[in-house]
Amino acid sequence: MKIIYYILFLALVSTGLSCKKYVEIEDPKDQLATGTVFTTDATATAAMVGIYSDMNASNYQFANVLTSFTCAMAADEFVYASVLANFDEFKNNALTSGNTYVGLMWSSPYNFIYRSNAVIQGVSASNTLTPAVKNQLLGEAKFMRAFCHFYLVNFFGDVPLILNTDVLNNSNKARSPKAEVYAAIIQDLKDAKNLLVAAYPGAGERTRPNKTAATLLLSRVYLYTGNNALAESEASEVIANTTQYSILKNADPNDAAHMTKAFLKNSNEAVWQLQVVNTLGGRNTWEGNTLIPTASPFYRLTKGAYGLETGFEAGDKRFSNWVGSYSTATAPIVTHYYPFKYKVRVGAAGAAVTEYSMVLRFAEAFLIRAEARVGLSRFSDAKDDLNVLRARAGLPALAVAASPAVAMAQVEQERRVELFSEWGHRWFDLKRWKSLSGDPLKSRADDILPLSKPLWKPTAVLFPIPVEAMRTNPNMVQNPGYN
Amino acid sequence: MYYKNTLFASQSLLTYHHTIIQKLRFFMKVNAILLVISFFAVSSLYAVNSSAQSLQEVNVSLGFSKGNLQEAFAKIEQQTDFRFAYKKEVISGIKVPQLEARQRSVKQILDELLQGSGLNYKLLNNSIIIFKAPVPLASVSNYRQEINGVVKDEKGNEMPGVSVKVKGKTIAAITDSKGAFKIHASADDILVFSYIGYSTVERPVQSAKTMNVFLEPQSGTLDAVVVIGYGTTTRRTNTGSVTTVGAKQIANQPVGDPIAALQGRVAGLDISSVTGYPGSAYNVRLRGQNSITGGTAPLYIVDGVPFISESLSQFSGANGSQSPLASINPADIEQIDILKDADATAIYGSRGANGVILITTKKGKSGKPEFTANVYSGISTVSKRVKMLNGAEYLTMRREAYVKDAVTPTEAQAPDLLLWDQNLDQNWQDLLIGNSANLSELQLGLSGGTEQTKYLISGTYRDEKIVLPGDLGFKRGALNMSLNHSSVDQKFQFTSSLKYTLDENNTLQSDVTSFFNLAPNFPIYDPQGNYYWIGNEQNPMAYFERTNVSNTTNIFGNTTLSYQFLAGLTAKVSAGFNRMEMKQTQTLPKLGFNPINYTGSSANYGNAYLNSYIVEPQLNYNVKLGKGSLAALVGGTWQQSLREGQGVTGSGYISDLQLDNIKAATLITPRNYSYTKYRYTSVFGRLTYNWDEKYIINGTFRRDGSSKFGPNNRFGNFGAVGAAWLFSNETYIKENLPFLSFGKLRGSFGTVGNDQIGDYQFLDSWTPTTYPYGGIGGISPSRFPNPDYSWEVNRKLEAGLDLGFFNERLLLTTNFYRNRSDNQLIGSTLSSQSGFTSYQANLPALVENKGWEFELNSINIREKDFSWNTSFNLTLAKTKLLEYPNLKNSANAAKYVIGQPLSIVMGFDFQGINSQTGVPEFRDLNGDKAITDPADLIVIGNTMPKFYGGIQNSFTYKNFSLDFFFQFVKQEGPLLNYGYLSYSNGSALRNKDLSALERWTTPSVPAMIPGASATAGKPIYTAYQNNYRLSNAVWGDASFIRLKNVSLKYNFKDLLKSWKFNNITMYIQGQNLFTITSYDGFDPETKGYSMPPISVYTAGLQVSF
Repeated sequence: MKIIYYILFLALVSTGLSCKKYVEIEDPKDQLATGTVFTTDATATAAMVGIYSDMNASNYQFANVLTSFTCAMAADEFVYASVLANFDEFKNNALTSGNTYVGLMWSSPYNFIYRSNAVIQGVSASNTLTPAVKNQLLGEAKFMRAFCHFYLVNFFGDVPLILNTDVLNNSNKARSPKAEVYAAIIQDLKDAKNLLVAAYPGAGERTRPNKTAATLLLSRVYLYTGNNALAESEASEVIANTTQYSILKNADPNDAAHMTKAFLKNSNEAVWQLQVVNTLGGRNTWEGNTLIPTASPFYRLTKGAYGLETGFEAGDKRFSNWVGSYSTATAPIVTHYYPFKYKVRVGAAGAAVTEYSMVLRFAEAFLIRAEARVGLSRFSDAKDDLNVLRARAGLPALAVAASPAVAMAQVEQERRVELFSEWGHRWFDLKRWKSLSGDPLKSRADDILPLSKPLWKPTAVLFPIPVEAMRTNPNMVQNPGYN
Repeated sequence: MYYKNTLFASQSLLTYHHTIIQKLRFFMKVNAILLVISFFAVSSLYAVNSSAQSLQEVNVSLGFSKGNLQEAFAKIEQQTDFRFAYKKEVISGIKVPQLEARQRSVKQILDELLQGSGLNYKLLNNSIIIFKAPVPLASVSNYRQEINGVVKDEKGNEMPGVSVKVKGKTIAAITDSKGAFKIHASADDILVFSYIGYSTVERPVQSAKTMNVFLEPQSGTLDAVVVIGYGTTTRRTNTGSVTTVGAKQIANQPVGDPIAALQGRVAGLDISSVTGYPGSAYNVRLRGQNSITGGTAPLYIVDGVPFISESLSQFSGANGSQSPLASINPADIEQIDILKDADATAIYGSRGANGVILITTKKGKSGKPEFTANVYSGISTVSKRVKMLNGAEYLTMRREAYVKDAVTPTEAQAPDLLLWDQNLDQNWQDLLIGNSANLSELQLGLSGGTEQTKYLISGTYRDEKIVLPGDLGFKRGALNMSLNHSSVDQKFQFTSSLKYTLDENNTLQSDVTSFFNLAPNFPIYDPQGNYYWIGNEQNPMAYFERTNVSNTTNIFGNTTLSYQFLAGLTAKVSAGFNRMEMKQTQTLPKLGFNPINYTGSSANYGNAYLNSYIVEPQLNYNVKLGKGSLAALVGGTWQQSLREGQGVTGSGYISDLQLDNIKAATLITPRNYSYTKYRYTSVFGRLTYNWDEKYIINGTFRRDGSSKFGPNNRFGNFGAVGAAWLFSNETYIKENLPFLSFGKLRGSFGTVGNDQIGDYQFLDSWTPTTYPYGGIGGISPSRFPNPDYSWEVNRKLEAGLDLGFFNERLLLTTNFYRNRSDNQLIGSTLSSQSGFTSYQANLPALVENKGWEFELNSINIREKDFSWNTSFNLTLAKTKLLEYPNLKNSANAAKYVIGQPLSIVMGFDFQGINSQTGVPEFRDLNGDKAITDPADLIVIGNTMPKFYGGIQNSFTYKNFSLDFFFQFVKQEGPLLNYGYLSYSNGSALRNKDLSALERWTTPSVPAMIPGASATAGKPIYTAYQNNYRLSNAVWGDASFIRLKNVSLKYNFKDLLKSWKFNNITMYIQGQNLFTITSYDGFDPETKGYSMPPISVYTAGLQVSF
């Protein structure tokens, strides 16, 4: 009998003793403990490229057609020809704070900002990474943080500036003044420029930002913030890099340098492209996949006197090469035009991907410098930059502008037809340029958009703070016009 | 051989044991097994240690046919070392009774053989001497005689399977199919007759040779078995709050999910279905919502083994995620016990906060083999449709919208006005969910056995179609095997069961019900006969081209071994395992796509499994202590479960016919992978003292450790005290209140925990991204980690009063409970600007749930040919957020309000329609002349019911029995036009219900429904989309009374007496027959745009022989 009690006693005691050990479990197979992420070059790099992967993973996201499309509709570039309430709100400049796309254009860049901050923090603290990798990752993360803040500040105006991983405090952070956000963006881009090198990391594909990408974005930021001198010098630095970049010309269509090939992967115009990650069904880019129609196009260039359809000068090769057309089969025959910079809707079965999504393009450097030079009253230099792009478009060279207004009009025209449907350039331009009426409270958008948009209100230049952000952050204040 | 084997086994155990002591850690892992082995060893040790073999200790396995004694003795000599000595004349002429073959001691055999023969025996060395017993002069008390008899029920029907025992002895018998029994007993013995559901009868033998016994059904359920954590009790002596639902109530309902069978039947248990698709999950809340955002599902335990309630689905289908509980076959369930208060749930420690639902499955019953078959078949239809505008009314509204908007419609915006047939008027509800679907189920079972060994094997096949076009549906095959064994002396008990369930749910990828409001003239096909497409609009009929099949395999086994090795002391080990596997295939062929979105056909393949085991050693000790009895339990638990799931997407198929074939894909892309390990360990104990059946006190304790929690806070202590006073057993009550046959006052208080917060939430880690980038795999942060959160604690308080009147014909239970949940373990909402939208943290927020529960059972009429029983339950419950520090500045500021329930819904306060413009207007709370979220939000409602319950009436008249059950719920909820799927009247391609006929049309004519508007940016449209559909204008009463179940049966037993059938019953049953409600949408239970619960009508036949 004693033996039995002994066994039972031991069983129960050992149960109690070994409890702690028993409930310990190993890390799950589907996750990597944070402590190990920034110890090796490979895993630290994985943390960075994870951002690019998620930027392009699914359709209608901040970095995946939404910024390009919604801004193009909010401006006067193209319209969506069917029924979709979320798009209609952009088209009519009658956004509501519950618009799903506005919500994504807020939350998604902030997610990337957190992850960039995590990389900055992790990489900085690590002493096991190769110095070259360390600099590269730090530079990329700072670039990324600046890139996301740049778009947020242009969508929404003042936005919370998030520079660390203190999630709990950041959650309730109030909106920082635009100037403060821009100052941080400039600092990040300067750091990135110092940390990054000219060569693209990895296999040399132009799918991760390099020094030029940071320089180009920095010159854009200087331009947007009115610092023409620095915008000019940074843009010059980009333009001077003729070993990596060039403007693709309008020569023989079979020529590798033909402008129809500007959006091919790693083309000479590409400063930073996003590689398509989800190639389901032979997709190359989401832009090509969505914009190129199978029959009648859904995304149509705006028509009429103020439409982009009529905005091209006669003979502009950008119209013939970068705009597609479709005519109805039956009378009355109507022709619709659509953006056709990307040429591949769906690649042939098994064919390799040929196009990547363009984020930063070399041609923008000429436009930035031209505009900066106009601001610096260097009209002749400005015209030279514009003529580089006009030359490839088969258009006659411009003469020196007679007045600042004329010079600015030239810049405006070139920017419109060069950068259409790319990353919201037109929308941001109309917002940031002053009204020709001289009213300091009005923007260029107030001059132009009411002509084609009856519901236009000056407050529409800022998108509304999404309803979720309003609800979850007690310190959040809504933009004017949405209250 | 028997001896040698056991001796060897026990010796080897002892040697083994010594090495184990040196290796304590290793011992820990095997100690559960050892415990089991040691119990076996104990019995053999006794046999070995005894120096001489006695008649009691030598067991033989023998049966005897009728014959003479000499032959019987010879048989015993063959198997033992004993030798018989007798005079031939003494034993000649003595008939040996027939004894069935089983294991007995020699003494037992001799007692039975010589019973009534006048012979006696004596052991001398190894010889058994047989001699004539001297006839006692004074008494015949030891003289055993055969007693024959028949047991009948209250209606005079013979009762097979009734257990007949001699009180205090091991002699037992069972009545045969004619209700007859035969047993040997002495004149001073007492016979005990017992049968489940009937009152036990004791009859003294005295001089009776035949005995006819009538058993009365138990009038109440006071003494029926109530299953509680790690034990059983009765309603009479339970100190906790438990409601039991029996197999009969479950069998009356032709449902596929055991949870569905509980709807409305248990006070405190609020169950609502999410969709009407088979296999879909239910919202189950026991006594309200305790956790702010953690899990609120109760803990499910099947035969002692925890059962998962989270789905294994890797992607969802039309039914949402497949509910694992749908793989429990309702026909296999014997009873379900719902444990509510601290007293009942504290033994489940960290997992009992949301209550516990114990499912006990069917076991074999002793008696001759009985074969049962039950088959039913029927049809199901959607219970309610919404009346929509007809084609002409719809087109009028659309045109009016453009007129009011002052916009000229274009073909792109208004194809319904400019392109499509103006006379086409389709009812999408008829087309999509208007079919009637077949349902059939077949159950076969075989059970039987002896008092020692009982078995049951049963199989069920269910085939349930869905009310959609095509051959979609749910099929399930279930096998249940159960084997129980106990030793003759009842000291050793063994139970075991194995269940195997296969089901296939062939459903759609998404619920097509939401297309009910598509334009009536939307053409399904183009002139070429292909699916018609326009813009981004989905053609709902093309959805039927996509398939979604999930197959679940569930193997579930459990076994318990117990041995009583001292009087009152029983050791027990229960162990169980569960393996559930799910395989899913979803195909997306070209035909199912709008060509503008089509980028190639694809298919999704998902695989997931769960492996789980649990071992729970326990010690039970029962002892008389003073005037009362003390029961003690100590035990421990080790549980581990592992879940792994993965999903891949295939693309690049040569042919759409090959989409089910993963190998035909030229590109396989990983979709998701998850891996979750969970370990759990605890020690628990319970002490119950029952003093004189008057005062009962019960204390429980549990210490739990779980891998779900951060390394610093892995352990928690939980416990409860419950007490009951059976005041009806007090003499002064008995004397003064004779009509009060039962009265019990009880109360309990304790703390219980909730651990439903997901696994690894403490872990600071990164997860691979969906796709690699530039050949490099990417990773992203899994979460915002919080390494030191700890348990959420629920303090439960309960007071209850149980009353029985008129010999328990009327039983009333009243409970008052107040549960307070603290230290809330929640997914705390973050603003997305932080990078995350939520994180897990303990919040010092306090949630209170309190309520009253009433359960009433009454036998209204009990005559020979007619009876009428009623049972009724009612729950009044309230959830309230009591404390939430700094709520105003927290991320949940716009979600919760102190003093309000957690289930509140915020919205705009509708003020009417501007009679000049048709624009809906709302209260401007902050006076800024604009209606904004969240500044102008008010609490518009609460999704938790105010009160709910059910009433069941059961009638029997001769061979007919009729049961019907009404469920009622008083609640509010979103009306048809609430929510983001509701569009402004006159929106492109969206039809409306009849309420749109009352829309504003003419200035100065007042209306309560906004005017028509189809254009974004126009005032009516904007106000509708931004405010109206989220306002109290479209929020309202969703109360209902539903005839949930009707069952009418006819039993042919009279007609078939001469046949060899035990039972032939024909029946018709119905589920969700009709609903009385003022709700304007599909169904007040499911609400929204999902498939409502279906109505089912079946007819069936039940046979047993």
